Amino acid sequence: MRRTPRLLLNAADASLLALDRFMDSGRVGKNLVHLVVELDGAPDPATIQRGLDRFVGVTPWASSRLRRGGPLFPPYWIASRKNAPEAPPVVTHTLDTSDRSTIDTFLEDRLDDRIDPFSQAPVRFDLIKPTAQQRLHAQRHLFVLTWFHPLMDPRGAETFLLHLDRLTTEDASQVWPDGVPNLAAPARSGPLRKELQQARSGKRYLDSFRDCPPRCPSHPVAPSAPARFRLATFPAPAEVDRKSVEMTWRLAVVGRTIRRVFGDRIGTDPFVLPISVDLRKKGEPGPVFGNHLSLHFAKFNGSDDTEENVKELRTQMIDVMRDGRLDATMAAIHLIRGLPVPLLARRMAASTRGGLASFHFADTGDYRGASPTLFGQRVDNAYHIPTVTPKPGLGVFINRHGDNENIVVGWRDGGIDKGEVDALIADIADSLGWTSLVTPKAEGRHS
Amino acid sequence: MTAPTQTTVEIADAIVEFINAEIMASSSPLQPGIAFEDAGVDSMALMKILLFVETTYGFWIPDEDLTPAVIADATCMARYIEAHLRSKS
Repeated sequence: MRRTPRLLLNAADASLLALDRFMDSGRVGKNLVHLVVELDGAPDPATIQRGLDRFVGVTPWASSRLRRGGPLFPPYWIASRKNAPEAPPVVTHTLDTSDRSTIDTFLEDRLDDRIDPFSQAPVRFDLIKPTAQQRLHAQRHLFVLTWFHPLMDPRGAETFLLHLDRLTTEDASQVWPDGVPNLAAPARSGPLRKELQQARSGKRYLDSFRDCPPRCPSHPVAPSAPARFRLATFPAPAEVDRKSVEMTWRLAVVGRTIRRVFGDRIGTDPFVLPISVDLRKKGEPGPVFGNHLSLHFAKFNGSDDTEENVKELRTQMIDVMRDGRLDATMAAIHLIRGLPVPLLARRMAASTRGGLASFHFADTGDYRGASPTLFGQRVDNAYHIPTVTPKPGLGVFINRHGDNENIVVGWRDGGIDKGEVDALIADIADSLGWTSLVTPKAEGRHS
Repeated sequence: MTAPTQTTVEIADAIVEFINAEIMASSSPLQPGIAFEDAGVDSMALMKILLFVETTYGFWIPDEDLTPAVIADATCMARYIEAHLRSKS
């Protein structure tokens, strides 16, 4: 009898799961992320579905559910015990894809459309095609991969599409001639004594932020407030200043902008910008499932001088790396993953009071440049739209696809207003040297 | 540990060895002479390299010296390190 494969949650997965305790009614299931890929033509849903079926043939995790592990065992993902693993369907929608606000409204609704990973597959696929009349003039289609965040991180989602694309176009047996790669993030393994030492160090680091007061402009907002986002796309400048693509430089820009736009709300005291740090090695797609993220908390003093902020933030980041705190943080979270979900939340530093350990700023880098097409269609743009938790209730996400530079601002309805979002985007874009807006600003229902 | 007698080639080899052990996936090793940017070395990875330089050669490359000419690839960085070590010896 075939053994049902399991996938244990990894360290960052457990932390995000703990944070979901504070989402909505406290149940797990609203921490969703979209990866939106804009295509210049119509992919065949049946072909995508075939690729998914092939994928499920080698790993059932696309259709897996979350199981509680009990006090001594961590939660884990597992495929159905009763039925053969079955890929989630690709749901086709017809919309006016030339209208940005129509698309935005649809995507926002889908962000608020709960996935309960205890009973549903933690991934969802939507194919948005233009109306029949519009198809005569425009061919913009959108493929939307939505996932429950503790399943995988943004890079894992991009890798997932890369594998899926190959499986739709090639003989499945030829995709991995040397055997199926390890599609799941490996569990930490090392001498227990060293792990414990690291965990203690990481716990001290996390605990040091426990009493840090929230400085988020949109705090507090109602946990049930709908998710909102705004995408702004700019043409990449011909000449790129090296420093402008550095993590610390972008972090300094975002922090300074938050201070400029929301200074009257957050005051003049230092505040903390939480950052998720991707610890994957470079150069190969790597695992699909599981997060390779650790947490870093940048203490932002709020000078208006970007260069000065960069120096300070870089010093902080280097200190964290020099001390091994990134690995230590992962180890700390790793060791508490065996706790029941409600207890996980208690152990997470600052999660109840400070609201720090969530996405506030992310620089997700390039959408995979090695894949200019998806499902046989040219990719015109690709970007991530994560939900943001009620704490902090605001997130800024930057990514690049080809010649497009994307800024996505996510927030919770009622937390900030449209003028503030516009100011936020304009200030960040200006600081990064991005001047000509490609995508018209949506004028939908944003308040 | 300071290694003032190392040549540019030896230093470059050490940098490449570190990058392949700590930064690159085993199936995608950095080849000597390949630009860091082309290999996917990002700003976080660059910080790791700077920490390696500090640990191995005993000094931190200051921000003002992190020019494209210095951080283009392992050989360029090794050339800078060798010159720095020679000036201090």
